[in-house]
Amino acid sequence: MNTARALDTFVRLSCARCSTSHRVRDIYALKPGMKATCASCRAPFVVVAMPTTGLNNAGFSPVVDAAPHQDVESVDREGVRTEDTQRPGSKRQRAVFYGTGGTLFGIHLVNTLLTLATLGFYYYWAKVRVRTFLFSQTEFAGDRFSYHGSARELLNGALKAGLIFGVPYFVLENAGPFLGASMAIQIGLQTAAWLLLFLFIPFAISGARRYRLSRTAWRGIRFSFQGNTLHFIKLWLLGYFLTGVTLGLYYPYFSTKKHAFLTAHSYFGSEPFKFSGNGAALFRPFLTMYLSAVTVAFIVGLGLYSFIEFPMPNFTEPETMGPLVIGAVAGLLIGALVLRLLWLPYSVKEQRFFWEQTSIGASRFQLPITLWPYLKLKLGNLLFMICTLGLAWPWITIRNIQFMTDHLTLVGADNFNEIVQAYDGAPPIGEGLDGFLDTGFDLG
Amino acid sequence: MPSLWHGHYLDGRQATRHLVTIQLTQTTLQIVKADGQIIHWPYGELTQTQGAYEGEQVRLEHGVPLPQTVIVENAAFLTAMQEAAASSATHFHNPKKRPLRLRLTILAGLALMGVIAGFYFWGIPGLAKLVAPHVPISWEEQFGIAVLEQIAPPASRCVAQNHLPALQSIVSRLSQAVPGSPYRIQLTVVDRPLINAFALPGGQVVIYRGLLEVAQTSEQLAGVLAHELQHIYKQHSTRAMIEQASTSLLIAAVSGDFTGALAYGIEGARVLGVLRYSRLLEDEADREGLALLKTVGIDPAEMIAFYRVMEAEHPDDSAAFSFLSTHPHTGARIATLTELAGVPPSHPVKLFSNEEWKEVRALCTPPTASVPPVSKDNNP
Repeated sequence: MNTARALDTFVRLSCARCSTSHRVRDIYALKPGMKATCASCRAPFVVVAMPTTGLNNAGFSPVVDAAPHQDVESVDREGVRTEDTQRPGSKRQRAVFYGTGGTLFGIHLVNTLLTLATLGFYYYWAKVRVRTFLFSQTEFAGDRFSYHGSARELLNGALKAGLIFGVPYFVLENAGPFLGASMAIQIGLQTAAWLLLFLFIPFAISGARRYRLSRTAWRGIRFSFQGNTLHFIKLWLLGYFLTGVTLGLYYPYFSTKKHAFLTAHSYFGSEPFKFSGNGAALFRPFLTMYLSAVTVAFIVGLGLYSFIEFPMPNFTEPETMGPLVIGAVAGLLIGALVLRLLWLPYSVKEQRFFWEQTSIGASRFQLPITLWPYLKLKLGNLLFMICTLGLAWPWITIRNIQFMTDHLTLVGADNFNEIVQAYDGAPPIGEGLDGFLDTGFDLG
Repeated sequence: MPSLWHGHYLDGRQATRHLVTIQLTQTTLQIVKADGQIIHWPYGELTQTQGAYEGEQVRLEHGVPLPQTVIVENAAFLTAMQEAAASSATHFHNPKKRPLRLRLTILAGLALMGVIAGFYFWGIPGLAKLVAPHVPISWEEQFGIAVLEQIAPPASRCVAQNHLPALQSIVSRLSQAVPGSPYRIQLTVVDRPLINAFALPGGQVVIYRGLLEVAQTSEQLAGVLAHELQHIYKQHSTRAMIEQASTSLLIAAVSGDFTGALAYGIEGARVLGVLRYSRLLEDEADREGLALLKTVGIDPAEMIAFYRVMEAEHPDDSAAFSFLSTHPHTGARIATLTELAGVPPSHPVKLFSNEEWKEVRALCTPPTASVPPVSKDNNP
């Protein structure tokens, strides 16, 4: 190998049609007019010009879609150029995931062995190894993400959360029967346990996001979450309250507000993410799903009630409560099942909406996913998992990541070069309980 | 191997990549920026955070908490660094050792299978056996009573005052053969036609009317009760709870992190795993129950006869699918018990005469005016 060959002579290109990433081993071997086809979708590529100067970082961004640069462009089968039609300077960029299930399985095997051998103690180190691998295999605009968390921090976070929430929850949950307390006290303790758990969830969401983002970097710049946890808990409580009193109809507004809070307080270095939507756009699909489920539940409930009730039409007798209860329970169960099934298409719409309302700088995200591919992914995962009794975890994890990297796109002019570090270097886990609510922590 | 490489440099302050040339010397990494500035990083101060796996870039970081970074696409850079720096670069990943890592991973996989088998076949049952005796009896009793209230509420019980003591006398006869046991056995008969009986922690035994009706002799019922009492004495419910929790943990460790609907997918593995433990406990209750009958002097053939009745009630049970059951296959249980029964006692104990038994087992029907029989062996 000579010196020239040792230099970085390869680049990656993404197919404009199917986004598959391709590696060109030696950029200097390309000649204008050379042709190739995408191994995945057979779309032809043609080299139209070569760089005259040395390798230029900005010009060879491997995930820039639709070959927006002068050196290589792609044409589709009909010969129509599919060059980016956005305004000048605008790019369509997508992440690429390179990891394989086999490698992750290897990591997982060793992790599991060590976790079992140390009776669970290695769990946090295992977690860090997996995250480091997954981040390292994810590339955006030519650079990999990097994970900077440590097992010690995860362990600390879990211990603190365990002491402050876990132990009191366990005591409240289990003390009743052992104290021989009266039924009223037992119900009181149980309610207190549920309340504690209910408060813990928003706290955990906020803390985990703060920690994880602070330990995630791209091009050496850390992400961060700067939302106030107390504000998030208030939003959470109010959202649940309004969802409850509107019999669930407030949910799309609540979920959007929740997502907006988490997104709009997130930063990449000095650059904030922005979220522009409100729940109104999701209300219609939600209402359709909601009314369908309620209608089915009502028809099933009423139908079953009439079916049982018909032979003995004693509406005033107390035993008519039987058919009524059976009808109501069956209606609720079937309604819940219908809701669960219809949730999948709703979830697709919700995810699309959430990403499409998210932007950073002058670029906006897009997630053009549709129901069928999403359904195939989720059902495939479930089937895969049941058949392997859980052993397929590495492949399922990678399938999920690849689904996202294949679809999630950032469109617009990027200003990455202007973004500066904003990480203050403070440890994510606060000392003592002062400001504990706003410390980042992770349960692992 | 060349000592000059191209890479990218990140200063940790801005998200701008700088194309740099990297020179490997014996002690330091020399980074030459486009403006001619040269940075020296001693190998000992560098951390490699990426590049240990196929397809990864080589990423070297310098400084904390916000490191400066150098990224090189080509993994051969690592080999070159090992060659150039020799002793001071040993903490970096060496791509030449990847085949060794693969072999070690395969070995780890094999070792893992051994560890899982060890945990499953010995570790978890052993742990349950070790921990169960330290669970306070009062906890078991309270738990047993709470469950009894749920599954056999007072309104569902047969409470014929004149016949229940007769059944209780069989229980006493059996429990007296286990001196020093801290459990007080309490019998409950439920007015339902199921042919079933079960034990709850802390001393509660529940039998259904259906079972009483198919038991042809009092000794057959004693066989069933001996089995159930051994569930209590051997703390099978407590052990089962420990085994279930431990199996869930084992499966969680092996199968990685699953959330949402996928978490239900591994439920199958958990249920299958726990069912085997259940069958093992049933087998132990059978064996120990039979031993208890022998101690009391009741012919074990009575217990076996009752199992034959059960087998006749469920002729469709398939031995091939017994791994899906909480209990071993009845045919296999009869075979095991027959083997253990040995020589029948020369003077087997008879608890009730057939006439007395017919009256006792009609416990759930409205009481008659007859005098209740009591186990003969309890009569002075």
